Amino acid sequence: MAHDHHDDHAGEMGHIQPFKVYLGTFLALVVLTVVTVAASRINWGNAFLNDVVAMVIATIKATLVITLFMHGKHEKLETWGFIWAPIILLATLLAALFVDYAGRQNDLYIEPAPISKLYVHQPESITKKAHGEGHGDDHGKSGDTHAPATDGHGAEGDDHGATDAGHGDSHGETDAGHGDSHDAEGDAKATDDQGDAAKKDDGDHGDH
Amino acid sequence: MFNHKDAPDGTFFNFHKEPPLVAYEFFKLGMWIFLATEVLFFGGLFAAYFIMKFKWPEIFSLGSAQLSIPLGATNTVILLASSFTMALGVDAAQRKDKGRLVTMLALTFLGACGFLVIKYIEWSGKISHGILPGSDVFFSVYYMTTGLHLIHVLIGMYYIGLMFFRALQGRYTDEGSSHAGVEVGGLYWHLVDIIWIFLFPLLYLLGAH
Repeated sequence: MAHDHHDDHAGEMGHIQPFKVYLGTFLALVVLTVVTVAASRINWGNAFLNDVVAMVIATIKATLVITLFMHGKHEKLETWGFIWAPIILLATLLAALFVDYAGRQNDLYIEPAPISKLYVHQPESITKKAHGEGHGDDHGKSGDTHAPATDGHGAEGDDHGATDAGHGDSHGETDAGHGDSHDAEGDAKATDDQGDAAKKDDGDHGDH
Repeated sequence: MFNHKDAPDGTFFNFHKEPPLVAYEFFKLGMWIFLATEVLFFGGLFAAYFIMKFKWPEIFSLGSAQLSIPLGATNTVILLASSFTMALGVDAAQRKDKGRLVTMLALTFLGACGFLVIKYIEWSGKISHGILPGSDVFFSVYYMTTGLHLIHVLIGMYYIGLMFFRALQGRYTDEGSSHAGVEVGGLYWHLVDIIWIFLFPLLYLLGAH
């Protein structure tokens, strides 16, 4: 329609809409904003339904802006191709991501436990110092119990070094510096390994 | 090839040899294509949002509850209002009404300033409480999406300011001139509005209950 109009009057550009169209669109957008806030306060049964309601309202608002504020209503088909293209691509991306993600929930590579205990309101749990201390205490304890427990500890450690290649290095450290095990705690990365190693040691000692 | 001085509407490209109407359609189509890339650009962030929300819903609930809905809703209405005045500005340009175009561009710029002020209140409040982009996954997404949106608002403000001074010179409304520049700036500003329309419920409303 707009295109025909252009062909008739070469000098005229764009489709002129009456003022009430703009005002009506704006008022509808404000009302829908209020509606979306109100809808979020209603419990729709489950959180997913809340998301759907909010997204439907947002889509209606976006459609109003595109068709009336951006004059999409009077745009050519080519333009609508470029309006639909990103929407379709984005829908494909999100759908593919979710099909993939939902199908992976039992996958070993995605931890089933919420990471909240590691993350959200306990920032100290992810800082280096707290990390080191946590493991350090464990380690210190195991060191205390170990020291008097056996004299043949060194020999056992060597055994470990031989059998468990992955923990070989940290074992070497623990055995060598058993008395002053706290020295190694500065290095958080090392402590992680040491913690594991210490636990292993504990288990072995239980057997002895 | 390019003739900056004689560009019909103050933009860099001059489609000489083409009638103004064709140039006008080129401008608009070009802007729509650019907006399509913008949607996909933000789409990646939306995908990240949904995946993280699906994985850690309780973090998103807690984080979302810390945002102020009144401030967010006010910002939404301010941005909608500035979108409204921008649409009226384009309308004024179409009708070759210079006075109304200048007024509407000024109002749109004021709306953008209001948005920035509220955004500043929100961000400074969060930062003073020690909530930073790295605090948790929700606030990583929050600062990333609102920050990128903010950059778009700033770019839009720059272009609105530019259009304001050009409109004062009559470059969009003079006899024989093209208002394609205003039309294109309007499209960009409306996209900024659309992105916020989606960001507002996603960040402020969902999971707060």
